[in-house]
Amino acid sequence: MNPLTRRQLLAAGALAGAGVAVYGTRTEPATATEPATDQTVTYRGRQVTASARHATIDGVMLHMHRHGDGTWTSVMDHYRSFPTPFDAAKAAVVALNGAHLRAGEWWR
Amino acid sequence: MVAVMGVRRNITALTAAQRAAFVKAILTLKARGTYDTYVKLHADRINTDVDGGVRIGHRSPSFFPWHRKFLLSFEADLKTVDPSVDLPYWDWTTARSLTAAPWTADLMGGNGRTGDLMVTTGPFAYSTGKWPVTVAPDGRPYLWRQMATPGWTLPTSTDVGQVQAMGTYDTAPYDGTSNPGASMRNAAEGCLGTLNLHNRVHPWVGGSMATAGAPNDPVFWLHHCQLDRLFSQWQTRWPNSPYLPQAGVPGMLPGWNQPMAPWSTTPQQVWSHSQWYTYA
Repeated sequence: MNPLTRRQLLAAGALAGAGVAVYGTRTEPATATEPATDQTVTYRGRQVTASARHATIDGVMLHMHRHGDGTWTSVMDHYRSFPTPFDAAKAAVVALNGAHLRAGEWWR
Repeated sequence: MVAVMGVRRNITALTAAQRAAFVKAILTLKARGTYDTYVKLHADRINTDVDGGVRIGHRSPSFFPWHRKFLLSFEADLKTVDPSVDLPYWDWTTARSLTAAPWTADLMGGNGRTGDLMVTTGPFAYSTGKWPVTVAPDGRPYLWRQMATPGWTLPTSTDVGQVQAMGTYDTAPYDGTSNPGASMRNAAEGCLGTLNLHNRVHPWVGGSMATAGAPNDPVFWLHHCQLDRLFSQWQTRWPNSPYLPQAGVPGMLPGWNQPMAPWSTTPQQVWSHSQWYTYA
């Protein structure tokens, strides 16, 4: 596991409070924890790579949206939002609970 | 569409025979392959609908009419199995127990088990072999739930009352950022704000229901039937409050008489449900 950057620690801190902080889907502005370039960490045994606009889990793209208020929502948590793609990806790892993410447009 | 008028009832008020008929109709659609077309259709919208862009099923004024049409279509398919079946609703302001209806073995089954969160009770348990989950964002082949995790509560009758008191259907910019203190639609849909009658119930149930494959959990229909019922009550209370914006937003969201993809149906055509069903 790579040493965590300050940015990553900030993002992890944001996630730690996510269960309450994103309640009601209003969240803080995303800019504070948004990484400028791709970062890869091992989170709960899964490889999470995130940039400012997207994320992958074990190399599989995690489909997500950026909302008008700057927050992010992924297919694994579609009815709440997170400050950054990194936060959304880590929440998705928790939701996956060891399962794999389906690649491609699984809904078509 | 079936011509017989339907009566949508509180699921807690269904007789044993009505419960059995409802469950059987759902399982029959699943066996036919019809059910999963609804999971796909819904996911195709929710994975596409976005603030500032095309938004038809969610984060849009057409949230209510789109889901009304979605439920009407599903209900019509249920009636091809048994014409006596009507969609029931889950009134989560009163049915708040994790073990009573709709979470009983004759209806939705209960919470997911510890560990893998698999639903192991009721007609949609994986072990029945009748509810394989294949149209989902992850590889789990079973229905899973994680009910009432900390931080999530069901909406209350007070929350509903505050939404119903809002007389304006929707406000600019007509998306997930519309002011939840002014836009009844967004206050109810719950993209912002604390009233949030719709969004938060998905993670309250948790599991499949929280994902973009939400209709894999049949409680999806009961939840949205409740929202349709509350919308119907709002329409009765505010008969002079129109769909907004009447002209839509070109290329992004449908106006009053413009089609809601993937159907040709317009908001106008489903604004009243009186030709199809009533609520009891």
